[in-house]
Amino acid sequence: MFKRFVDIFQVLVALATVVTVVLLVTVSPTIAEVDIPDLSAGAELFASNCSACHGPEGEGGLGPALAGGLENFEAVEEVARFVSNGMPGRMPGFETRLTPDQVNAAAQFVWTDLAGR
Amino acid sequence: MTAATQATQAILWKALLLGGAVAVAAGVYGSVHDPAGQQTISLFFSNTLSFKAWTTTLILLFALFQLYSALRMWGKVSFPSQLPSWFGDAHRLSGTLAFALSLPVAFHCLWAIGFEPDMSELRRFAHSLMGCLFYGAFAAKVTLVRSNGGPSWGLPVIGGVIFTALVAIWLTSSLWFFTNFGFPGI
Repeated sequence: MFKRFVDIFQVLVALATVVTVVLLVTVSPTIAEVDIPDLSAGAELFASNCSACHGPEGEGGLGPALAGGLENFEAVEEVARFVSNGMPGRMPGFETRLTPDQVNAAAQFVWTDLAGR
Repeated sequence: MTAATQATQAILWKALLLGGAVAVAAGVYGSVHDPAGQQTISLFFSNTLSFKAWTTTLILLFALFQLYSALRMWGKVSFPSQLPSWFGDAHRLSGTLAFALSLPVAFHCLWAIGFEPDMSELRRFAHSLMGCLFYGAFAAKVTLVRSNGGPSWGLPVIGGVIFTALVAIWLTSSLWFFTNFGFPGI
């Protein structure tokens, strides 16, 4: 009974593998109509909270450069999470200093304006 | 060279060639495909990266069971002293589950991010390489298992390569994620 279950499961996984390969070669990225965000609030937050370490233009300083960077991030949401949590011993978390909207605005500015993503 | 030895070698070469082809195909796809740069599956996690970090951790746990159950079946460890009748099927199931869970992770890696060819980006480069090695070695192992006649050292060696690649994948993705984004990071 158990053997039969494993046999059937293996067949299903083989089908899932085929489906995954087909999706890899057929699915195109979603091109959404995106409103261009107002980055002025994020720019002000960056200037007052981040530029001391990352430089006024995000060119780096005490902290790493952000301009043209952020290769380790895949989405702006990850930048926002990183800004909130910080990195122990290297960068303070801003969860208690900024509201979630402010964190998102700063992250959006870094992502779009500085990193050009 | 006897006919039996030739047959054994033929099976081994078939497995290695197929595995190599799968690894190269994954690498080529990851290199030529224009990365979508989008989130894909995240289930109940906050984003795809978090989903991938935890799914890869779960895959590693299944792989650890794979390793131990294989060592038991090959008589390298003695616990449990009596092998239950379902033990071999549990070994197969854990491997199949690990592979099944890897599919959405690999999909995001290949489709949304792609292969990192720049060796100065060591973590991403090693991760890309190990991902291709993992699927290539997996294809070779499945071929050997199904062919029923490869060399006796074939399965343990290729199984070891799969496990090593998976550990390297976990170190360069999940551990990196938990270190940089916090634990549990869900």
